[in-house]
Amino acid sequence: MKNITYKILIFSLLSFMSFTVYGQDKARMEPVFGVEWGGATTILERYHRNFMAEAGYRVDEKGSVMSLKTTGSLTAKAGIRFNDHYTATVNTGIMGVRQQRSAVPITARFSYSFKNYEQNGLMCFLEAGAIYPNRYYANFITESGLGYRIGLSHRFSLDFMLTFRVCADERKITDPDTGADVDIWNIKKNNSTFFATGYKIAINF
Amino acid sequence: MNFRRVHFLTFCMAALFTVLSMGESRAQTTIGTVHSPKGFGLSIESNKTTDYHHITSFSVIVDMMDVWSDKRASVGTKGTYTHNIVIKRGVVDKVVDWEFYAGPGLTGGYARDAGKDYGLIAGITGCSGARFKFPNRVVISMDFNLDICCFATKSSRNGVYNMAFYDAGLTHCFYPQIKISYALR
Repeated sequence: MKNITYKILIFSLLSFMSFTVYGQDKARMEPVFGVEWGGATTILERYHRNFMAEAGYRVDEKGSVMSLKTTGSLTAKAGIRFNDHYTATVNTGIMGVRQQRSAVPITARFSYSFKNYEQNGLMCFLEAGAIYPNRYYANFITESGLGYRIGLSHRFSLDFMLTFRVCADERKITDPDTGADVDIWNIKKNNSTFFATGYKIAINF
Repeated sequence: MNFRRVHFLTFCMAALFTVLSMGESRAQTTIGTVHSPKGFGLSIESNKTTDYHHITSFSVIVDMMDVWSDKRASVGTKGTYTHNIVIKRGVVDKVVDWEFYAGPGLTGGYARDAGKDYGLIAGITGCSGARFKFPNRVVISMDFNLDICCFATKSSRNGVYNMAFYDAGLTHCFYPQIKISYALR
């Protein structure tokens, strides 16, 4: 992921955080932790690949593919509950991006409860961050969702969420003539964006 | 093996267990869902104190071996019965009752093992975990299951059943299984 994307992302998150923290009663802030799991089905993949074929001509492919592929995710989260409505957490764990491709996500999430945190009611969240398919590079991910929170006690709550995820990644490119993998220095562009919808269940404590 | 027949038999067993557990006097029955990297499904538990405090549990799960990673598309089915003994109990956050339990059980089904095709699974299981009961009748438990099972696959060449050890029962024992249930009374 380019540096400029990181800067925009960090700036957006800090702006949102400053907005939510502004004017809040610090005495009511509490740490919050949780585990979360779910499944997501990729519904659309948009791709743009530009590479030099072994025969010497340049290939430029753009398009969209509709495919229903299911992957799972398991994450842990830690953060701060600012007041009865706003919560900010950092999430990490393991998630499936696409077929036989998993990654480690590190994301920041802001969630809003329409009722008090301890009461039953609707909630929504917005999340953005990076996924690491391996340790050498990162890709962008953003996710939003709407759900229902069941307040179990002062500390515990249970969330059932429907989510929509947009995630960038890249695919292995094969030569159209030989079928062999294209060398990395012959690839000018290799972008894929995956749009997925799914569900998540979270236990907060 | 008729896949639909296996599903039907498993769900009949679950229904029978529900009726029996609800009929028990002084037993507290909970019905809920099971969530695990291994799969997801339904769970029925009966919590009762006789000579000792125990939790009898029956769960039916859709086995997701290689499905989450999208290596395969079709799923299997597994049923597990456990008789758990409550080892320790307490209260957390003033209103949340917790119990630590462990116990033996039986497991069976029709699913895949790692890198193998469908087969029949039958064997014993060991379970241990913790259970939290909240004031609004919601019960959340997390446990780990160790399955020691045989795995029978039918040979496509001569139709003979080949017996093997069910590897996923051991290798997947560290996968947590979370149950979210509602106490009927």
